[in-house]
Amino acid sequence: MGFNSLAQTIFSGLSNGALYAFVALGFSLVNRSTGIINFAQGDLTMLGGMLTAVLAQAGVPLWIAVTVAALVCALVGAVFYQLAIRPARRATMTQLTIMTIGLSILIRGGVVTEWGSDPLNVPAFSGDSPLHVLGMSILPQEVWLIGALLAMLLASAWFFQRTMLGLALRASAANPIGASYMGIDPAALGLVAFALAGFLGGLGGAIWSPIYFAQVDVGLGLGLKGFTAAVFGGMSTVWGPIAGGLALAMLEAFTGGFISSSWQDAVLYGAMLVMLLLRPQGLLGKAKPAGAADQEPSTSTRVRRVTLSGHELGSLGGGVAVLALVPLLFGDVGVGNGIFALIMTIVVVGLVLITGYGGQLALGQGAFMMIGAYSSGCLTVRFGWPPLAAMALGMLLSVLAALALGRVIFRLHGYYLSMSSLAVLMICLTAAREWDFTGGANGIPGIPPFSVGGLVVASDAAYYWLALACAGLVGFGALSLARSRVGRALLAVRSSESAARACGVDVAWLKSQVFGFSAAAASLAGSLYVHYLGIANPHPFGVDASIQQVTALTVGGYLLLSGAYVGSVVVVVLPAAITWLAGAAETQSVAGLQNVCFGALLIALIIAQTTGKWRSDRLPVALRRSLRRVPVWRRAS
Amino acid sequence: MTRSALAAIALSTLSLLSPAHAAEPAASPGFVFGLVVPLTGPSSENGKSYAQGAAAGVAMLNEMGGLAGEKVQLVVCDSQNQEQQAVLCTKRLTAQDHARVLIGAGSTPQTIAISPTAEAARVPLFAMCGGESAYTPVKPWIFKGLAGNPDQVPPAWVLAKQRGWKRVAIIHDNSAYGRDIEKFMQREATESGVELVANEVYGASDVDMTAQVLRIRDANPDVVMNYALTVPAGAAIAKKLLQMDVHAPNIVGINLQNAAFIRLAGGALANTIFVGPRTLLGQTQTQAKPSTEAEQFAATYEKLNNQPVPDSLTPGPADAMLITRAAVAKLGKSADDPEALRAALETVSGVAGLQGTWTFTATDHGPVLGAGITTMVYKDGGWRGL
Repeated sequence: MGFNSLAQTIFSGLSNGALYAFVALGFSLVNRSTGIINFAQGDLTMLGGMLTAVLAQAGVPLWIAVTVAALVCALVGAVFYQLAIRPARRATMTQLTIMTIGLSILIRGGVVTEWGSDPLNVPAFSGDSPLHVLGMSILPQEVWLIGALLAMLLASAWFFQRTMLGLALRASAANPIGASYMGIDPAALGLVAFALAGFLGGLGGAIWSPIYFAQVDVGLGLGLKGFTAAVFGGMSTVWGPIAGGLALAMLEAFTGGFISSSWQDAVLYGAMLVMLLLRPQGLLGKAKPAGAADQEPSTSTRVRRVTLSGHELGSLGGGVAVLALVPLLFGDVGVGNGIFALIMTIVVVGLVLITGYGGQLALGQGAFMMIGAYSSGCLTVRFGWPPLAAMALGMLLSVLAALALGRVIFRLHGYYLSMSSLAVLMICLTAAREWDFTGGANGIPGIPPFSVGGLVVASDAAYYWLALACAGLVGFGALSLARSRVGRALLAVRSSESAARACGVDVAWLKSQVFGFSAAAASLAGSLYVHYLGIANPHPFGVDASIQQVTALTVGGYLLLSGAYVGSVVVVVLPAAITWLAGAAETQSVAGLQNVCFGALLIALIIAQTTGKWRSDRLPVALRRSLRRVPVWRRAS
Repeated sequence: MTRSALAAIALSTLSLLSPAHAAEPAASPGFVFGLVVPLTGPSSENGKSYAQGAAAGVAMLNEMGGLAGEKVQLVVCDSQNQEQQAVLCTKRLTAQDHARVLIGAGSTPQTIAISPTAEAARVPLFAMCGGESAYTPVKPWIFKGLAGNPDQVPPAWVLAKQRGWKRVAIIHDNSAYGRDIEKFMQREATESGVELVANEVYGASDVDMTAQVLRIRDANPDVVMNYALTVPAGAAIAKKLLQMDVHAPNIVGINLQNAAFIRLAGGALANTIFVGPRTLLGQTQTQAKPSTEAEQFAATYEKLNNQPVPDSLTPGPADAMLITRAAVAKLGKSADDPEALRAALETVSGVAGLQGTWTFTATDHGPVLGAGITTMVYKDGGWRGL
């Protein structure tokens, strides 16, 4: 690489770093003042770009368009805080974080409904013709972006050191209780933080999108990069996210420039994993004093029974028996939906244990699904293994991987697990795409239908029953685990980790065990998925799938195994139902509407769950009560 | 879990599964074509082209008098660019809408994913994807319907040979499509003895390709072959090449030969050479005037959309319909026996389609279209030959 290209690589790292820094700054602002990881930050950035594009196309002068876009994004942040986060005061951090996932889906759905998913051109502030400096070709817009970041740096230095509000934000971040004694209202600060984060996101998006395009799909990717940058640089300082953004973009530029663009993601997320393990506080962050680990606040959810009863087993068996009737009652489409819902259920049952009981938001179950999927794919297609053996080996590999991973990541608390599980997923996705052994992005086609000892599960109905049997078994396993010593210990850890530890619970080992169980379940689901589709490729196991699983978990209630079944059915069938309700027209806006409904549902459910207005574990009782009001039912019972 | 919990699960399952089941169509919907394509997500531009092409194709068949006296109908289902959704769409189209021919699914893995469902339902599927692995080796119910990578790669190399371009740079993404393109490019390079001076890859969702474009600049190619899967990525590369002063011609694949690319590419358009079906130039393989089918399709399309056929994906579904028409004509009667229709499809030969001439046999469901696909430029608001 010549000098020119080297300089150009450094400059492109700088301009991408400026974008990541904008997103990361938003993350850290919200995280430091409320403790929440705002997964919608990337989508606020996308929204800023889209608004600018739409306004500019409508003939609004560019500078007004940019200002309006940033202000609207600030408003979205503020309204979200006021109407969603604030009412859900008693929610756990995990629930609040899931709520921001809801906002992210909602924004994406809204944008698609309103403006479609076509990419839009955004006019550059001062022309498109590149400037030639020191042999580099620089777009004027890149200069604007870097300049805006510098301005933002100066502004935040002034804001956090000279203004009352900035000082209050810092005080509250350092010691929320102490700050509130001094008369600082944490709720008002949360509002300010969300609004500022929205403003930063919107502004960054408005300035960046002329370099690329304004498009709805960039939000998720930007969010992940920004989040990674914030963790990399350290959330706890003002300069951390900026340093993180620049470091990350440079790493990306140089990996792309000198090693290979295809492994860029793996290097990026690998570096972040290493950073999380060696220096969880990030590049510039200060280490927390010993004993000051993040503590998940305990939830108000009561768990009524802690031992396994024959009654529960009967219900599980009865539930499975009722669900077994589905293929007899419904046509192909119903059964197809049912199969995907059951496969998702198997993953979500694992999540109930790890996230519901364990209080750890796992976003990377797709990685274990892939281990199962590719074990089944490779071994049956390439080596002629019987499907059952391949499936079993996949599960074993997943458990081993989870135990090994668990040893390392359960030293971390709070969002670090979400982040590291996400990183592992990204690395697995890259590996599956780049390896010839896994068939690359094309995947492994021609996977035979599932069979046991010569008995081929050929029809959809038979496959449905197979998936149901697996879901029943996993449900039974999870129920036994939840009602055993392990389950009780998990609940103890969730209420107070130090108290549980004092009672002799080996916390890391406990969590690893549960993680292992959920990994085995996810791997089983992955195997079932590819035997049904006949192809194993990386695409279905990405971050979108993780988001759907978390949605199903939230819909069903975190501590309810029966909820896993209900939630999965809702997540798989709701889109079909919305399409059906919206009429036969399969248009963009229907898909947008689906996302709007999902996002709103996620947010509303968490508010309802945490304000006690609606609890999924009360659903059966409410249903019984309302059924009692039906005269016929009363007579019959 | 209590008994009432059980009741709750059962009830919610029943109530939620029923809408999908309830939509039974009215009796005798005519001959239904089912289209499974992504109308949302990063490939939605492509999905819209397929959908508009299919709509025009159906209108054209009805103008020609339908299929064996039956009126032709189109049902579209959005795969949302997801394997799972594509499979559910296929089930819906075959079970509820009684589609007799399927067209889809917009990407190679998704086409492979819906194949077992089409086979189980005994409905012929015309593959709308670039990868050959969807129909090679032969699967009884799967047929090629869209110009694939063996069709869209050679025209670029033929042009390179004509113009004496010796140093070729290729850039593609890491998706199934991109990797397949890469293989074909490497094969062409070996066969023609031309030097592949750069082979660059980027992530399917990447938004910055500076590193890749810089390496292309350092390699100093005579021509860049930019076969992106999605329009934003392809347009971003075209613009980046221009920004980095790479003025070598930029040949783009059929996924980029559309209005969205033209809108987004800006100044880079002047330097771009497209690959697409000769029909768009108003030519057949042998003559400088269009075939009757092509003329009729162009007229129908223009009537429905107030613009000429815009891109190379639009003719895909229409070709599937013309091939079906030829098969039904061979049967000579209503095509309600799926096996008979499938067998008839395997015997069509010399069907003048929009992308080329189609001939299927029992051992070849993926004929190479040859001269049907060519290179062109976009000038003065329309496609022009080179």
